[in-house]
Amino acid sequence: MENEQVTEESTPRINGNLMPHYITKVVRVVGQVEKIFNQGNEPRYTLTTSDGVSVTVIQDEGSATPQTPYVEVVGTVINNVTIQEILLVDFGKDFDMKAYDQCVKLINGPFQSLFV
Amino acid sequence: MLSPTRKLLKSPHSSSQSQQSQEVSTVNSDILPISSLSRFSPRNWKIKAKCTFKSNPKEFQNKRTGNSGTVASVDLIDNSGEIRITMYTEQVETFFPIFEVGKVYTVSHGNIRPANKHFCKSEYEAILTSDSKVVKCSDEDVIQTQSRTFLENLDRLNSDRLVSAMIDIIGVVHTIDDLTHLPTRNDSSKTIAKKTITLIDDSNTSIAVNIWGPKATTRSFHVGDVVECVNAVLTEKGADRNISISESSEIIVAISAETGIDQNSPSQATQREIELFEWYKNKPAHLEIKRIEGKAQALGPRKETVAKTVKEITTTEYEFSDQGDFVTVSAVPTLTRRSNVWYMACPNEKCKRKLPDPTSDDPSEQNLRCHNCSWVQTENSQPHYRYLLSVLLSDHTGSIWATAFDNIAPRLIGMDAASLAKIHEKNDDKENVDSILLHSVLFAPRTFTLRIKKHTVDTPTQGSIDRLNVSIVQATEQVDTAAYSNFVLGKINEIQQKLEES
Repeated sequence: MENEQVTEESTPRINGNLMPHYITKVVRVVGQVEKIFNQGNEPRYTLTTSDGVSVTVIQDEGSATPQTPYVEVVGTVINNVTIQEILLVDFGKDFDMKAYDQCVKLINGPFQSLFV
Repeated sequence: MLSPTRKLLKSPHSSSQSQQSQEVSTVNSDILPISSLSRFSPRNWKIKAKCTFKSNPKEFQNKRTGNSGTVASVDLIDNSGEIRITMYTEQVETFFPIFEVGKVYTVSHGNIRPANKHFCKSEYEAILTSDSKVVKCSDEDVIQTQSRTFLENLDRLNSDRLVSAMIDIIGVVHTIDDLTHLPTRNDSSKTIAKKTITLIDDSNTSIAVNIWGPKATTRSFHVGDVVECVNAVLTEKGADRNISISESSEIIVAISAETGIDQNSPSQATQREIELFEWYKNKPAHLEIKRIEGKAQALGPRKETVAKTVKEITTTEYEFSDQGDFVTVSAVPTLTRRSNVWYMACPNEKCKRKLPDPTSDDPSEQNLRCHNCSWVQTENSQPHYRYLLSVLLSDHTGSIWATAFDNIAPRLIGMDAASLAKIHEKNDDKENVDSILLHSVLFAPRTFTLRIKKHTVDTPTQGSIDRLNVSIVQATEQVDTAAYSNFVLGKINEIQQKLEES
């Protein structure tokens, strides 16, 4: 079910400011891990997106916690600041967030038609 | 009974004949200024103008309509403007020979249409038909011609805006070089004639004028001639800026130094030309003349190394100097030359020259000898193997061949040339030169630092062309993706800005 969701729909790359546009949609967000915590029984973590917005990710059951400082989350946008995780990829410790954010702006802006 | 001839006299033709004679006497009032001609002019327009240019008749074939024939044009100028007269096939035969550059003609009848601005300076073009008339006026019949299209003085040629533009200039012949023949670019078995003269004017500037083709051999000049260059192109190549007179341009002697300005039959020369003629005759013996020159290239290799894409290198060839400039490119080797990957070199530290192959097949003479120093191959002294690897570097914009010499190739390949040569001699199926190059060099993206030199080469088939000498100076193990991303983002930004500005 998860894999179907990921492969059938397109998963646009977004940053924090674009979240409101994609509520209920499946998106990809790259962020720097801030805090790993528990809300009741649910394991969660917060990320700082490439444009400096703080986002909470509800970890998927059976999925591992983030191992590296930079991660990519594929998930459903619940609200402006929350994502339900579907898939997590560790991106290592070297990542140029500024270049990535410029890229996200180009992808969602003037060159959107190239990426649908 | 009326005789047939009398009947003819009484026919309507006789009345029009008398009308015609009336027309002839009032012919001057029928002449229209060229600037008044447009598509809406009545068919029977008539102009009187000086011929400034005659093209060479060309064969054409219109694939769409299936028409073919010859086409030729002349440019005419009067006091109000210029117009191009174009003739096809039959009209070329009838009218083209009548025209002579510098003489005045009355031309009437023809179809007027807007001219193709790429090939024609004037607004409109008149196509002559079988109804057209072209009459040469006598040499005494002088008309005023518009001279504002000429550049005020030669000093204006310093303006960068005019480079590659089609312009008209007037100047006085100051020096005349000998006729030379150069091989043509496309076919070096043919040669093209070239004659260079320099023109100066009262702004104390001089410009070289290169005349190409048949005009170079047929036209002759004298020092002191006042000439007009019409439809000439200001070309610039490096520090050399000059005027080019080719097939579509014309150079006319307005006042000849030999005959001068004849008081009895006033010449067709303009006020400006007369001014220049007098100025040249009376100019001081030692005149400080400034030559028109282009922007010279920056001397010496550039100190900073610029990051570029492959296309930027191949399309800005003119930027590279003879000494060599440094450029970095993040690219992938996609092809290597599989033969002659290494060569034998003299082991003498001071020499290191490539050793030529043994000249004879005699087994006793198989020892290599250095032609530069006195080294000879012996049992104790063996030649060195050195790399000469040609690699095709590709990125998303294009590909370019580069050479990796012995300073950098061992790092790319992972072993020195001698080891690779040994593996080659073993003749193993699995481990051979190809497989090693494939695993080590090919398809591994790196950031290459290239040294690029431009040099001119005389080829047997293409004449004199510029080639880039590209050698690899340094190569990283991997491409720094963050740096490369920023480089590409910068390029995208540049393009977006350019689009916004235009």
